[in-house]
Formats: sequence, C-alpha cells, structure tokens
Amino acid sequence: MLSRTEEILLLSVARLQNEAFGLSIRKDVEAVTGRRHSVGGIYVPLERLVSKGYLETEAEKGAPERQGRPRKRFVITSAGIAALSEVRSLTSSMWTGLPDAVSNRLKISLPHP
Amino acid sequence: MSHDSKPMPAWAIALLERILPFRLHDDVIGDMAEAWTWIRAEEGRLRAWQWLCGQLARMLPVFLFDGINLGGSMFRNYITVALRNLRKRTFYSTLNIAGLAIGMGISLLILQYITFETSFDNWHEGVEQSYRINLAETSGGQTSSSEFSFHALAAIARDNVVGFEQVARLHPVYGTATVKAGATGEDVFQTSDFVYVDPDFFNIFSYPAIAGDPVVALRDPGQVVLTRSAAERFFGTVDAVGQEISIFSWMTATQRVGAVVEDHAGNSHITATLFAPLQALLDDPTSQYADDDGFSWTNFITYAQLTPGSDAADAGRALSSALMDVVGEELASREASMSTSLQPLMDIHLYGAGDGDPEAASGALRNVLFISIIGVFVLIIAWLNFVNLTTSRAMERAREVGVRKATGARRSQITAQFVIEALLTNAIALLCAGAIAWKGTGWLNDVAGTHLSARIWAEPRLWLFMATFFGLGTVASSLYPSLVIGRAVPAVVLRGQGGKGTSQARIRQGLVVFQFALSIAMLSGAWIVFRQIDHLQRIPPGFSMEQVLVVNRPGVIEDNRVYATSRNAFFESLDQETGILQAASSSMVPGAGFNLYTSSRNETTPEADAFPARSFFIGNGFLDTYDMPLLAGRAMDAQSEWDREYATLINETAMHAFGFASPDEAVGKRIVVGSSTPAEIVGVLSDFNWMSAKEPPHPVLIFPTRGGSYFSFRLDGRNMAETIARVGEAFAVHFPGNVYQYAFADERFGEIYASEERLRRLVTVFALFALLVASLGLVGLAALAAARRRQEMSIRKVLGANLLDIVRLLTGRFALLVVLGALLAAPAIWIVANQWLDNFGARMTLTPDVFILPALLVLVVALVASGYHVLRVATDNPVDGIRANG
Repeated sequence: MLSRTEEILLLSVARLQNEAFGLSIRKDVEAVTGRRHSVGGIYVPLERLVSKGYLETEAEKGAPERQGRPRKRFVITSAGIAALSEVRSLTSSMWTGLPDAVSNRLKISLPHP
Repeated sequence: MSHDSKPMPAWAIALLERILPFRLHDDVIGDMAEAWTWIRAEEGRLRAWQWLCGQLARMLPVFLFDGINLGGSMFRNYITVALRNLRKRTFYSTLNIAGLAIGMGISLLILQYITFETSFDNWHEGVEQSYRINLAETSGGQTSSSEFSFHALAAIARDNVVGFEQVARLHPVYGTATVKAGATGEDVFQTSDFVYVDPDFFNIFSYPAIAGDPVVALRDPGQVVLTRSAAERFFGTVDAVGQEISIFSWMTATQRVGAVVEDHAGNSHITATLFAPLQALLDDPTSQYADDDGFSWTNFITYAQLTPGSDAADAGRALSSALMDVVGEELASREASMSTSLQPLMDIHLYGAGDGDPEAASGALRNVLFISIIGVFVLIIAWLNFVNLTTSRAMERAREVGVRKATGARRSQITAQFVIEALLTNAIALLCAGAIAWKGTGWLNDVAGTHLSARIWAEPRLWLFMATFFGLGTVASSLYPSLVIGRAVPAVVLRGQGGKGTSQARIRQGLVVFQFALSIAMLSGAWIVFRQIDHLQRIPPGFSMEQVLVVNRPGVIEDNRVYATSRNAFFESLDQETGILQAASSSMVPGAGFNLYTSSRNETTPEADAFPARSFFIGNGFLDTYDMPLLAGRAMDAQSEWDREYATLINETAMHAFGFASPDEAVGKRIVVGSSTPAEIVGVLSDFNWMSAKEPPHPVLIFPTRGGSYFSFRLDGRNMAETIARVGEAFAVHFPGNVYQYAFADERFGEIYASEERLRRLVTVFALFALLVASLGLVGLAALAAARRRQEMSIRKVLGANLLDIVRLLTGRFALLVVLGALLAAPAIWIVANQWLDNFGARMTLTPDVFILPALLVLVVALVASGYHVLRVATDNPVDGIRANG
C-alpha cells in the first residue's frame, strides 16, 4: 500500500509527464499541497519509489546551468499506475456507504462550486 | 535584479559532495545549481543566499546521519534511550546535571567578569591607533616610568614627529572639584569625575554627541562638556546646553555648557563626566601653570592617535628623539635622559603604566589571571564529576551494553549512544548554567565592583565560549566513559562479572583525588588571601589613625585671601572644643597618596646619585594628631618663613638613601630636592606605611604648609557624634555654601585594600561552589560504593561487626582520598602563594595551617556528603542486604 507522500509523488510524476525532474516535482508538490521538501530531501522518497519499482529513471544530458551535471527524468511504470489505481479504488470504496449523518455534514462543509 | 550568472559558491558544492551519498551527487548538486541561478537572477543575491543556507541546513541532518549510518529512526532511538536513562536514574541524573550546571554557571560568570575586565576602552572608534604616551626618566641609573608628562610633550609630538594624527592632553582633578549648577546656579555638588582636556580628546575617545559638538565647544575657553549622567545630575535634564556652571578646582571659573555627550558606550579607564578646556587652565593667570614653560609640571596625561598603518614602537622612538632634541642638553647636565613609549589604549586598564598608576595598583591583570584559573578549575571539577558519575554508573549499565553488543550493536553505535546522552545532559546543564549566570550577574557586580548588565550577552566572545564549553564538555565527558564501556566484552559482562574492573575504580579514585586537590587548593588560596590582608592590616603603620576625623577642605572658595582668614578662624573656633585633642591641616592623609614624585640627593653627592623620593605637605600639629614619633630633631613650624623655605622632615628609608648612618647625624644636613632646590633636614621620623603595607617603605620627604586639602582632628573618644556635629557647624559657619564631607582616617585607609578584599570574596565564593560541585559528585560515588558493598557489609554484620565498624570501613576510603588530595595540592599552593605574596612589601609567612584548615573543611564536607548512604547501609537489616542482588 502506498503512503500518502508516495501517492502524491507518483501522481505528480504522472501529471508532469516529460517534465518530471526532481526540481519540477518538488515545485509541483509544493504548489498543490503546500508541502515543502528540500532540494535533496525529495530524492529520498523518489528513490524509495524507484526501488519499489513504481518509478523508472531516464538520464538526460547535463546543461551548463547545471554545471554540466546530468539530470534524471522520472517515469511512472505500469506497476506504479497499478498501485495508484489500487489506492484510488480503495479510497472510493471506503467513501461509499457513509451514513447520512456524516455525508450530510460533509456536503454542508464542502464549498459549493 | 541582477542578471549576471554567478554560479553557486564552490564551498556549497564541496559541502554537498561531503554529505550526499554518491549516487545523488549529480541530481541534487545539479538541481541546486540550477535553482540557485534562477533564484539569484529573479530575486537577487540576498534571497539566493538565504535560500542556499536554508536548503543546506535542512539537508544536513537528513543526509549526515544517513551517511554515517545514523538514520533518522536510529537517531530517534538514541534520543529515546538517552531520555529513558536520564529518567530512570533520577538521583544520578540530578547530581550530574546539577554539578555540570553549577560548574558551567560559575565559569560563565567568571567569563563575564573576564570579558568585562578585558573590554576596557575597546569601543572607541579607531582605538587600534590610539595610545597613551608614557614618559620614562632615567637618572642615577634608575628609570621610573609613568603616564604623567609635562604639557609641552603634546606639541612636540604634533609638530616635530610624523605620524601623530591627533594629540590631546588631559589634566586630572587629583581629588574632588566643587561644582555650582542647577536652574538657579546655586546647587552645590562635589565630583571627582572631572578633567581638563584638549578639544581633540573627543576625536580620540568616542562619546557620541547628544547636543552640540564637544570638539568645537572645548575650543572656547568659556565652555565645558557634560556627559548625559552629569547633565542629569547637575541640571536634572539632558537639555543643558547654554546653562551656566561654576567649577572650583585648579582654577575658579564660571562657564557655559557647550555640548552634552552620551555616557561611555562601554568600560573606560576614564571615568570623567565633566570636561573643561585645558587651555583655559594653562592661560589662567592665577593657576600654578601661569609661568610653566611646558616642562615644569608633570601633572598631564597625553593621548595620541596615530595615522593608520603607523608602528607604535617607531612612533615612540621618533618622539623620544624629538623630545631629547629639545630637552636633552639640559638633562645631560644632570646625567639624566628621557624616553617615551606608546601604550595601547586598550591595555591601560589591565597593565597600568608602572609606578604609582592607580590602574596598575588595582591589580586588575593579577585578579583577572587568578579568577580565570579558578574558572578553569571549577569547570574541570564539574567535568571530572560527570566522567566519574557516568563511568561508575556505566558499570551498572554493562549488562545493557552487553545485550546490545550481543544483538549486533557495533562499538561505534555504543559510542554514539554515550555521546548523545552526554550531549543531552550537557544541553540541559547549559540551560541551567545560563540561568545561574544570568541571575548571578547582580551579585558579581556587588562583589567584584564590575558594572555588568544584560549588554554583556551581546558579546560574541561569550557565546563562542559557551559553544566551546558545550562542545568540549560533551567530548570530554563522553569520551572516557564510552571508551571504557564500549570495550566491555559481552560474554564477560553478561555473566555478571562486568563491574568489578579494579583499574577503572582506581582511575575513578584518582579523579576524585584530583577534584579534592583542586577544591583544597582554591579554599586555601582564599584563606591565604584573607590572612595576608589581615597581616597587612595588623602591621603597625607607624602612626595612629584611631579616632582621627578627616574633613575635606571646602571646595567653593571665592577668594583665596579670604579663605586663608576663614580657615584660620575655623581652626580657632574649634580650639576650645573639648572633644578635640589635636588638629592639623595637610595636603594628604594616610592612604590618599603623595603630592610629588621628585628626585633628591645629599648636597655632598654628585647628581648621578639622586634617588626618587615621594613627598607631601603638613601643617603644624600634624605629627601629634597622627602620633608620629620623631627619632631626632624637631617638628616644622609652618608659620616660620625659614621653615617654609628650607625645612624638611625625612623618614628612615630616606635617611639611609641620603647616606646617613643615624638620625642624629642627618639632622641639620642639607639636601637638594629636584634639580636644584636646597633644603635642610630638621627632623627624622621612623618609617611609616603611608600608602598601605602592600609596598615596601619609600624614601619620603615632608614639607611644611599653611594650606592643605584635608583637616584632621584627633578626637578624645567621648561624645564623638556631638564633636563631629560641632565641627560640621563650624564648617558651615566659616565656609558657607560648601558640603561638609568627613570620614575617619582608619576607614579611609582601609579602602586601600579594596582590591584584595574583592579578590578574597570572589575566590571564597567560587571555591565554595567548587567544593559544592565536588561534593555532589561524592554523594553519587558514596551512594554507589555503599550499594555495591551492601552484601559484603551485611555479611560482616551477621558475623558481628557493629555500626561503627561499618561506617569506618565505608568512610575510611573517602577520608584517604581527601588526605591524598591535600598532599597533592600543598606543593602547588606553596609555589603560587609564594609568588603572589612576593608582590607585597610586607608578606605573611606561610604556615601549614593554610593547607590543613581547608583540607579539614573538605574532609568534613566529604564525610557529610557520603554520610547518608553510608548510614543507610550500616543500619539496614542484614537479611535485606544479603538478599538484595548486589
């Protein structure tokens, strides 16, 4: 089962597609969730996802503004997609069948579109 | 916004390469470099640096602990275990933390004291280039150096030597000045914080102006400068510019306040709050400097600021030769020479200038050294305590370590555990220490005469030292325990044989002996200082000061001729006073100092044999007032014109220096004072300690005077309060508008020992705290020893040992440690004490009791400290003891 952080990271990688580099993932996560990782810190969970087989990496040639250091593009694997859909179906099955008392209050507190 | 593409600094890359695992180098460093360039271009340099530092600070813990196999969870585990250990053994933890906290707290206090003492005058702008010009005169093979010079020296430095950017002279008040000020101009104040200075004084010393410009103000002979506190004192408001102020001192003048400046931003050897223009004093036709060609009076202090890059030693030599160009010929005629040296402004407080400098006499440097040593001692005691308690407790923990090792803990991990525990204990202790130091500041101000305020915490040095304490303390106090315990072999400790290592026990006892040695050394140091002060005060001074009332002469004198008449009337009106046995005026009283430092010689000897002598002036009746016996000859009569011109009294030391064998031989002989003033010895006094017995007796010449700054009255001891009041009434009648200031001569004299008294009080208190820390450690060790030998003692009891035997067995060892400590401390104390005592003219002889008494005190404290646990073991039921799992 994915942790919340892993779920968010996987979704971010999937959303960014060809632009899923460390820096841009970090920015995307911060923009959406407000959660701030340090530049290096974000690689810790990303590497964990790679070692679990949910992500793969492709090396890309270094640019001068990176002092010539190559960068890594993260790509979601089919196992990663399967893990995401598992989380999703679990979440939605848990959302169905809430008693009226709870779902009414949820509706009230939700902002109207 | 700048768009130049300055890359991320190399050190940041180097640091990242250090802390990051290799596989992440490219990713993270590349990302950092990219983001850096972007932020720097978009948001500027400052934000980029902020961002960089923030990122590094956040990544450091994540990867550092990962890098050395201290991953987040492992780290948390260490903390958890450390906290658990602290909580589980509350008793030891408390002892441990209390000992460390007191030790560090005392050291911090001492550090504040040292910071204070070494921060004098370091706050002036350009202070690195500022110096005091000290003048040394060599004559007759003897050199005497002092900060006092004649006033032409400043002009020579400014005009004849390259490199002197600012030169300013200062003329101290040498006593007190009387000030009339206030809204009506009729409020009378006495102040000793008054000087005459050149305008450029304020270019060398930084006093920010509140109103007016002090340099401009002092160019006007009719203006003075006040500090904020003086303005508030004299006028009740800072807004004093333009107000009138009358000063009665070396000249009498009514001037206007030209500028008000801030009080010192820090400590300064200059305490003046009221500054009057020096040139006005020199130009005053009634002042003693009216016909001074600039070389007659050495009452001036000269300060200078060099141009940046100048070398002080070179400048001093250049000034010396410029000076000798002017005065060399005249000096050569009496085989003398002069030289100058430049003393950094910041050194003045600690080092003084040598002879007779009040700053040197305060022993600031010596006291600072002493107190620093004590600080180090207290800290060492505290750390040893920690080591002792931790290692002895660690024997109990051997089992835990054994289990950890058996389940795969590496030695480095055991070490990390102990380091983190030490870190935690030290951190808690440091917090308590900060509180102690914070609270103790007021006390230190009272005892040490410092003026510390919260401002001291802004000193970066203090924080640096605190960080060092913390770092060193943690390393020092965790290294040994982790080495000892980390080495334990699991199979041995798990069998339950761990805690019996005799070599460790011996080391621990050695540390205890050392702690006791330090405690005893400090206590006996305090005791020796106390005994020496007592010794000095018991030395008969050669005169009697008991029941002698000293009244300061009136400060406000409108007219000198009228003053002479009213002074005589004042003394006459008290002639009939039955409570007064004798009365006399004089220029100085015991402990107040001398008026002149002058060379003198026998008329028949060549000028090269002249020696420096000190002198003061007395009126009729002085010898009887102070009960000073004449060995030969007669007293002087200030009413006789011949006596005023020629007569002098000398002391025995001077008699020997003049080359006379006996007092009778000296009487009637002629001497030369200064370069050419003739005088005749009319009487010889036995030696007396005019300026305390701290210094050996000097040659002293006494001259007659009708004036004088002090009026002394020998009272008969009955109804003293009434007599003092009646003297005050007469004072008010004859010197209207003046403040009646009086003190008893012996009290005044006692203030000379203030510096020693302060040292004694500081040393005593610090020594007692050191003893407290050491005994805290002992409580812990005693508890441990008692617990460990509980089974043994129970068996002894079963076999018939009584309470006394048990107590003796358990405490005997501690007594032995104290005795060993005393033996260790004695030689060190002997050497240091002898050196310190050599500073005094009259020193006590060291007797064994200075070691024995402190050792006994420590012994008693040690027995009391260990008493509770010893008695508990001695009195408990042997059955429980035997059953207990030792």
